[in-house]
Amino acid sequence: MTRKSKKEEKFVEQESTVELNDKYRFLILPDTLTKDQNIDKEFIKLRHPQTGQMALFLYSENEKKLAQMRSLPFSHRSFFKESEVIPINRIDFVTLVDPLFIFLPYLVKCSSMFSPLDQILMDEELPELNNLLMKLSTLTNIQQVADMKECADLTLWQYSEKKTLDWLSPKVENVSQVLITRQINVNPNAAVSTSFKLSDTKSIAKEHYTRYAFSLISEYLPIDVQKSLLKHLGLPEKVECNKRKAGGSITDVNKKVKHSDNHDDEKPYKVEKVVIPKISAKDKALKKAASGTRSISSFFIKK
Amino acid sequence: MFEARLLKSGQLKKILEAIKELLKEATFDCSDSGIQLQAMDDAHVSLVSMCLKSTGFDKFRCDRNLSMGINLESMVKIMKCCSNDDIMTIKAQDNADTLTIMFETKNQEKMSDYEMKLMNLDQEHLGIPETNYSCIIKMPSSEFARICRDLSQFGDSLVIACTKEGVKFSTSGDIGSANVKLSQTSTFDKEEEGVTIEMTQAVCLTFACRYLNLFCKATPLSTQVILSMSGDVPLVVEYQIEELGCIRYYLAPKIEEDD
Repeated sequence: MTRKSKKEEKFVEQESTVELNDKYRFLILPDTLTKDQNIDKEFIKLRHPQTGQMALFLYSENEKKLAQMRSLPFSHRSFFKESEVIPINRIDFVTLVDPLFIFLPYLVKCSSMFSPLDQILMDEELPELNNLLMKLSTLTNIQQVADMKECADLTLWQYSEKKTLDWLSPKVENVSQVLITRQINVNPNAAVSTSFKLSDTKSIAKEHYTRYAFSLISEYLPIDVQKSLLKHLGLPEKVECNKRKAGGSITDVNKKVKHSDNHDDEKPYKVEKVVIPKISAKDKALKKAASGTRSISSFFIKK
Repeated sequence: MFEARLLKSGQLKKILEAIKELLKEATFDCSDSGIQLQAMDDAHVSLVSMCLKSTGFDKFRCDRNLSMGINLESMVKIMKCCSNDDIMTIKAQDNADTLTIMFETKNQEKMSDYEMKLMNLDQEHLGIPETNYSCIIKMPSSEFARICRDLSQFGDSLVIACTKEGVKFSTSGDIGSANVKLSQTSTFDKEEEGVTIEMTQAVCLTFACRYLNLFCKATPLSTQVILSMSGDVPLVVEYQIEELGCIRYYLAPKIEEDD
C-alpha cells in the first residue's frame, strides 16, 4: 500500500516495556508519531473493543495521539545497523486509532441512562485504567457517538446508537471506496492476492466491497454494534469468510474522516462513585425505599 | 467452646425470619451473658439489634467471647430442616471456622446435625445512646403489621404522628391518601391486647414503609410491639421474645418527602 511508504521506518530498541519481550523489534510508525522527537510516547495496555482482551497501544500525551500496535511474526530476518547484524523476530505496525473505538464497549455497557463520563469510562475489573481512559477522552469527540445532557454543573452522556451508526457508516463507505480505487480483490471466493489485480472492478458487486470494509471496521466494534451496523448498512447477516486481519486500514479511514481534533469541553467531573453489586429486585426496591432517609450511623456513635 | 441448647428451635427460626430480609449476613457475638447481634442493613438506614439472654436457653455455655460471622441465608436453609418443637443445640469451638447445629426430636428418635462455614465479617459496632423517648406506643404487633401492610399500598412513606388523642398513621400516594387513627384502649383484659401511649411531647415523623414492613416480619415473635419515638431520632420498633430476649429495629426518619 502506498500509505505504508509514507511511513517512516524506524528502528527502536525496547528496554523499558516489560511486555515487549523481544529485545529487538522493528516498528513501523506513522508520520504523525515521528514528527517531533519528544519521547513521551508510552506503551499502554487497554481493552480491545471487540474482544475485551488487553491489547498493546502506543500513547503520546504531547501529540495527543493513540495508536494500536499490531505485530506480525517475522522470523529468521536480520538487519544491518552500521556494521552490526541485528536479528528481528517480528514487525510491529503502529497505526493511529480513534479512542472512541476503545470507549464504545464502555458506552454501550452504560447505555441505559445518562451518566457522567467518569462513571461510564470505568473499568470495574481494572480500576487502574480509569484515569487513562479519562485522559484519552480528551483526544476525541464523544458527541459523535453519545448524546449529551447538561444538568446543573454536570455533563451527562448516553450512548446513542443512531449517532454511532452515522459515525461508522461513512467509515465503511470510505474503506470500500479505497478498496475499489486500489482494485483490491475482496471476492470471498477468490484467493486474496496482492500481486494480481483485477482489471474490471465492476465485475465484483459493490456489496462485496461494503461487506469487506465492514469486516475490517467491525474488528474494532463490540458484537452488538457490529450487528446494528450490519443492519444499518443493509447487508444480510451471514457468516463472513473473508474476514482477515485488518492491518492499518481502519486508521486510514480515521484520517480521512477528520475527528481527532481536540475537544476541551469534556472535563472530568467528580461525582460520588456508585458501587453496583449484583442486586435482586427486592434489594433494589429496598434501596429505593431507603432514599431520602439519613444514614442510621449518623445518629449513633461509632465504637 | 460455645454451646447453647434451645428447647424450641422454632423460636430461632422465627428470629431468623425476622432479620433475614434486612441483613444478608451478621455477626453473632456470644458471651456468657448470651448472644447479641447488631447490624445495619445494606443501605445503612436501619439497624437491627438482637439480644438473647443466656438464661433463656435450656443450657448455655460460653467459655470465651466468640464472634461468629454467619450468612443468614445459609442459616435459614439449615433451620428449614427442623420442625418447630425440635430441640436445637448450637456448638462451636473457640476460634472455629464452622458452626455445628444439631436438631433432635422430643422423643430423641431422630437426630440430625449440620455444619455451617463461618465468615469473617468486618462490621462496625454502633453505640446506641440511652434516649428518653417523647412517645412510647405499645400496641398489638398484629395490629401494627396490619397497618403497615395496608398503608404501604398507598405510598412509600408512612407518617406516624403521636398526640394526646392517640397515634395516627398516614400516607398518601398516586391513588389518594390513607389514615389510621388509634386511640388508647380504655379497657382491656390483657395488657398486650390494648394500645397504650406514654407521651411527654407530640411527635410526627416520616418513615419508609418498606422498612417498617420488614420489621413486621418479627410479628410472630411477640404479641406486642413497642414503638418509641422522639423528634429527629430514629424510631425504635421493639419486640420482646418471651423468656429469651428481645429484638429491636432502629429506623432513621425520612428527611425529605418523596415526590
